[in-house]
Amino acid sequence: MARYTVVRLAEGLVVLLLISVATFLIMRLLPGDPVMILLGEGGGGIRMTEEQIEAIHRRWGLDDPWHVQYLLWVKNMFTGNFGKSIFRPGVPVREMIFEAIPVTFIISAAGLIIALALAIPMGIVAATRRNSLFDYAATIFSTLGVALPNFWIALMLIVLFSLVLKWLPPFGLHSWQGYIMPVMVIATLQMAVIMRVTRGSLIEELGEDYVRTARAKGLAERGVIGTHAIRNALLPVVTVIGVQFAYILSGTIIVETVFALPGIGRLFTDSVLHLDYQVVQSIVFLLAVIVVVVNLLTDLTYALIDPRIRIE
Amino acid sequence: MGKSKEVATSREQFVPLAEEQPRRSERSRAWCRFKANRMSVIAGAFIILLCLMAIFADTVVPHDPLEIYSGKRGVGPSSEHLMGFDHVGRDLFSRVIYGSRVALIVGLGASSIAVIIGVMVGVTAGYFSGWPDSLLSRLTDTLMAFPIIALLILLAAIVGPSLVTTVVVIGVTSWAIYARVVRAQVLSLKRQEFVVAALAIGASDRRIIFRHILPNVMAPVIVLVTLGVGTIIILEAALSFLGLGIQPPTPSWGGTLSDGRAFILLFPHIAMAPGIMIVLTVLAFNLLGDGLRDALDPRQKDIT
Repeated sequence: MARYTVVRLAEGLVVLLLISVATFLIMRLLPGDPVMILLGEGGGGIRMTEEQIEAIHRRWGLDDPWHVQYLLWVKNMFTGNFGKSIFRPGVPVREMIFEAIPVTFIISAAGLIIALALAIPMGIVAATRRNSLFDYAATIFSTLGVALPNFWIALMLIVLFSLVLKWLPPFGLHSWQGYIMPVMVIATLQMAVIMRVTRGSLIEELGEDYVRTARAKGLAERGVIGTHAIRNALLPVVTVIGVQFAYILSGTIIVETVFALPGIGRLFTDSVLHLDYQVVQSIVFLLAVIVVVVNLLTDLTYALIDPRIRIE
Repeated sequence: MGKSKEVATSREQFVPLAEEQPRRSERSRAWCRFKANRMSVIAGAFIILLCLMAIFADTVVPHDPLEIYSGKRGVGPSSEHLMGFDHVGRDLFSRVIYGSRVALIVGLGASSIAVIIGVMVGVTAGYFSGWPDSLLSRLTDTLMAFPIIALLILLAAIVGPSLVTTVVVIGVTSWAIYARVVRAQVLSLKRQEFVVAALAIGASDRRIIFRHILPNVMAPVIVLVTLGVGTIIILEAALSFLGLGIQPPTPSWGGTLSDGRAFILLFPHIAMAPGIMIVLTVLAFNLLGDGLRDALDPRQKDIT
C-alpha cells in the first residue's frame, strides 16, 4: 500500500507540473495587452507615453523573460501568494479566490451529497426490483438526466420557482435561498449518473456465485444485499465519483453564470474575458491541485477497499 | 427469420442457404440485433430527420431567421409563428431550425477531430508500451480529470470565438475517452493469436496496426462516437451560452438559450424551444449509441 501511495503521489506531482506549464504558456498566448484592456477600448481616452506603458509592464513583471515569470509564479503558488489582480488593481488574488471558494464548495458538495443520498438507495431499489414500475421510472429518469444540459435545467427551475411559484429569488446570493436552485441543478445530473452505475453494478453482483451461496445458506434478502452484494457493488460508484468530480466543477462554472453567483466559476469566466493573468492562472492551478488530490483520494480509497488494485 | 431476406440484400455476395440454418454475416446479425431495439430505431430516424432539416434549412424554414419583425419583441407563440418571437422580434421557430445546423456541424466535426486524435494516441500508447505509453496515459488522465468547460473557455478566448474555433477547440479537448478505450482494446488485441502470428511471419508494425488492430477497435469506437456526439452538442451549447461559441446573429441553440436567460423573467418562452431541441437531440444520440453498442459489441458494458 505504501509503495502504491508513493507512485500515485509522484504521478500526481507530474500531472500538476504539466498543467502548470501548460496554463502558463496558454495564458501568454492570449491576445491583447492586459494594460490596454484595463484602460478600456482604445486606451480609454487616456493618452499614455510609451515609457508609461513600459513602466506599468515592468511593475507587473510583464517584461521579464517567460521562464523567470513562470518560476516566480510557481514559487508564489506554493507560498500561497497568488499575486495581485490586474483588472482590480491592488486587490490580492488570494482574497478574490478565498471569497469565491465557499460559494463553489457549498454548491458542489451539497449537490454531490444530495445526489449520493438519493441516487444510491434509488439504484438499489431499482436493481432489486428489476422491471418494476419504479425501475422503469428510475431508468427513464437517468436516461433523461444525462441528456439535460445543466444550464437549461437551471433556466427551467427559474421559470418554475421564481416566475410561476414565486418561491425563490431567480439570481444572486442574497440569502441561503439563493443556493437551492444551483444545488438542485448539480444534484440532478449526478443523481442520474450515480443511480445508473449503482443499479448496473448491483444487478451484476446479484448474479455472482457468492450471492447465490449467501441465499442458499438461508440469509435474508436484506442481509444478502446489505452485507454482501452492496459492498462490491459500490466499488464502481467510488470510481465514478472521482470521474464525475471534473463534471461537477464544469457544472458549477455554468451554474454560477446562470444564477449570477460570486463563485470560482464566474470569477474564472470574468477573468478570462478581462485577461486577468494572475487570477486565471491561480484558479487553473487551484483546480488542478483539487483535481489531482481528489483523484489520488479516489484511487487510494479504491485500493483500500479492493486489495487487487495494489498489486498491479 | 422471415426478415433475413431483406437483410440479405444489403450484402451482394450473400446467398441464403437452407431456411433452417441461415448463415449470416456478422454485419447482418448486428443489423438484426439493432432493429430489435425499438427506441434506437426511433432515435436513428429522429437523427436522420434532423440532418435533413439542417441540410434543407433554407427551404424548410417558414421565415427568415434574421428578419426582425417590428413590434413583435418577445411575443409568444401563435399559429403563424409556432414558437413565438425572440427578444428582438425574430421568428424563433426558424432560428431553432437553423440552430440544428450549428449543433450537427459542431457535433460531427468536433467528434471527427476527437476520434482521430484519440485513436492515434490510444494506438500509440497501447501498441508501443514503455515511456510513450506512460506519457500519453498521464496526458489522457489529466485531460479527463480536468473540468473541460474551464479549458474550453480559455482556448476559445485565446483563439477568438467562431464556428471553426468551437469545432476545433471541442475536438482537441474531447479525445481522452477514445484514447483510453482504444488503448485498452489494443493492449488485449496485442496478445491475441492472430496478431502474434502476424508478428511471427514478419509483418511490419504499420501493417499490423492498419490491417489487424484498427479494424478490430472500430466497433467500440463507433459506439463511443455516437454516445459522444450528445456530450459535444451540450458543450457547444454551453460555450455559446457563455458567449464564447457561435457569435450572434448566427442562430445557435446555446446562443438562443443565452438570450432566453437574459429575458427569462420577461419572455420565458425564448428558453423553451432550443432547450427541448438540445434534450431531444442528445437523447437521440445516446439511445442510438446504446442500440449500436448492443448490436455491434454485445459484450461491452457501460463506459463511464
